[in-house]
Amino acid sequence: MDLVTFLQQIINSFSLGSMYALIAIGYTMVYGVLRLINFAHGDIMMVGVYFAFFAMSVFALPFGFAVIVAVGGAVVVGILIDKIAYKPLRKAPRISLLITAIGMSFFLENIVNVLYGSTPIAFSVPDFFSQTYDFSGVIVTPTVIIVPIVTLILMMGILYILYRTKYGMAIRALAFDVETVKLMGIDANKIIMLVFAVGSGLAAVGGVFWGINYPTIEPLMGVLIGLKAFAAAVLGGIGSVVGALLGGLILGFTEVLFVAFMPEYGGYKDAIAFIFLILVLLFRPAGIMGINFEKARF
Amino acid sequence: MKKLITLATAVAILASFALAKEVKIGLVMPMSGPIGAFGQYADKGLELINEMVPTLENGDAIKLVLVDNKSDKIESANGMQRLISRENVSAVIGALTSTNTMAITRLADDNKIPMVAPVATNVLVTKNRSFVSRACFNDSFQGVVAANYLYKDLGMKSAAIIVDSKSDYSIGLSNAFKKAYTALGGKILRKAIVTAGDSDFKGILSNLKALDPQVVYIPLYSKEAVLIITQAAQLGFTPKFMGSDGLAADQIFFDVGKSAINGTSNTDLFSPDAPATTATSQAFFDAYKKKYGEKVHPFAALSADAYLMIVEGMNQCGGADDKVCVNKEIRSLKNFQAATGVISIDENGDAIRSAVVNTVKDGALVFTKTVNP
Repeated sequence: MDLVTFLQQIINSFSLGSMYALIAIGYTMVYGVLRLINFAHGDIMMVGVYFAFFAMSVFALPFGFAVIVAVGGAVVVGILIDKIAYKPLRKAPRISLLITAIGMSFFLENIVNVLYGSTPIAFSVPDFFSQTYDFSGVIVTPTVIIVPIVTLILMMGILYILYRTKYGMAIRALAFDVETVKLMGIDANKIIMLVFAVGSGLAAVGGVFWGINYPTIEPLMGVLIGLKAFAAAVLGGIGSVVGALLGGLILGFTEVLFVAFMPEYGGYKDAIAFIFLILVLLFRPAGIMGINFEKARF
Repeated sequence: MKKLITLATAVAILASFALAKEVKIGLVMPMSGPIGAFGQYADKGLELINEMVPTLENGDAIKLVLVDNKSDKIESANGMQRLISRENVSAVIGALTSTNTMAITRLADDNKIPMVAPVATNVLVTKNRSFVSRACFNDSFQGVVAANYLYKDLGMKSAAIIVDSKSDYSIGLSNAFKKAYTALGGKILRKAIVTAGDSDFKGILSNLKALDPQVVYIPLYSKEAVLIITQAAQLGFTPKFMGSDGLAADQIFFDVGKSAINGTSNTDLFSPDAPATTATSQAFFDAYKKKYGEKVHPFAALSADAYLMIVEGMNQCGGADDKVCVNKEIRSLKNFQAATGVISIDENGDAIRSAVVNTVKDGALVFTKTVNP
């Protein structure tokens, strides 16, 4: 493979990986605080995209505003899900929360199915995103540059919130020990709501980027992406934000590079990504960042 | 006297039930799910042809019983089972895609129900299935048409193929194409595999770009095809793309493709732009335009063909009851005037009919040529 093609594949990997990372960060934050694998997370992403579609098709809003609607809508949905489905089960055994999350996932998918049908819909994207820039053979589109940068900025933002603000301290404390936090006079439920809001917002941004890059949307689009983002979060060390970023990137790289070198075996692409995950977990169960909740380092 | 009148009325009512029977034709269609758009078009054609031809020659009313297979092959089998055991259908039309159709052909054979597949083109659909026929040609013909067009008409000597490993249609067609193309002297540079449901194809496309094929053959359905073509454009990779009848069947191909799809060609079952060759087809086209306000979609037209084939079989047998006779008549149709033109069914149950080649110009499919068998 010549250098230009190889560089192109690296760019492709980055592009895909950072989208997985955006969604994985939301997964990991919720787990860190609630020890809950929020299976509905991928579907919150899908709901965000459909909010954007709704804004553009019904209100003919320009794309930028549609993105804001998407994020706002997903945040509201995320908070509502926490209030309705997860909050009543704070004291319940872990398995009940898991089942509720799965149920919420089905609920979201089917609501969108009823409203929009399950046939793929074209997501209208401004032509700006289809432009190509040629860097001596390596061709990039705007999203290839925008997505990793936005992911990095958002991740920095999250880390800043977590380590430099009072709310962030509360979130980290919650991840450490819920009961003591309540004894300290902090409203745990409000903090949890904040975590869901942030996670859902990130998922919506990831979803909009996904819609820009792959402009066919359908109610089940969140399923496979959510699964891969979850795998990415676990790979990087679930509970760790930096780990989610790393996990997402690694997953993106394995997927694209595997296909790049062996396109005849493209059908096994997803299998390779998950086999890689299994191998990492066999030898390092805590994931790459190996989050140690005793030290509660996010 | 009163008793006599009551008795007479009762007998008359019973007799009327016995005389004006209802014939049920079952439909197994994807009305929802990733290929839901295909079923919706087919259903349009079937509704229309049912309005145009609502009874058999002997007066029996024809009723369409629709089951949504949700684009899934297991649901197809379930739906077929329901149609056979609960609805007692006399014939079945379904299930559009080859994978879903092949899930129900065995049930048709086992229960001796005549089945006509409108657009399933994989060779295995009718192979060793005496009760299954189709209104379309099969992929060994379609692959040859594509290979001939690319090699002889366009002079393209090197090709790459992208196959969907989940779709029997895609696999069968790519094999047929590969065989025909290499026999002509063309070179297949690489055969890459993708899966339906994938969104990101840049890895594969960058890989193929390095090989620089003149044409990339994509026997895929609309959603994957349009994502591949647009992503290739974003990578600066612009070979000729050649597809098949599943390529442009969903409107999403044009909505998402915009200008990137210009220049893409496909082999197809039927083109509404080709002049109507029979009175039946002219009547069907006009009625379709009037009812739906758009040009006839190939899936709608082929489904109407399937309906007419079944009705003809039933008419020849004086009704729908003798299913073995109906099936035999369908299988022996020769020079039959269908909604799309004149078709004949061969001994395998496949239709001998022309294929068309279309090319996308200015975001719309334009008829290029007809290829006769």
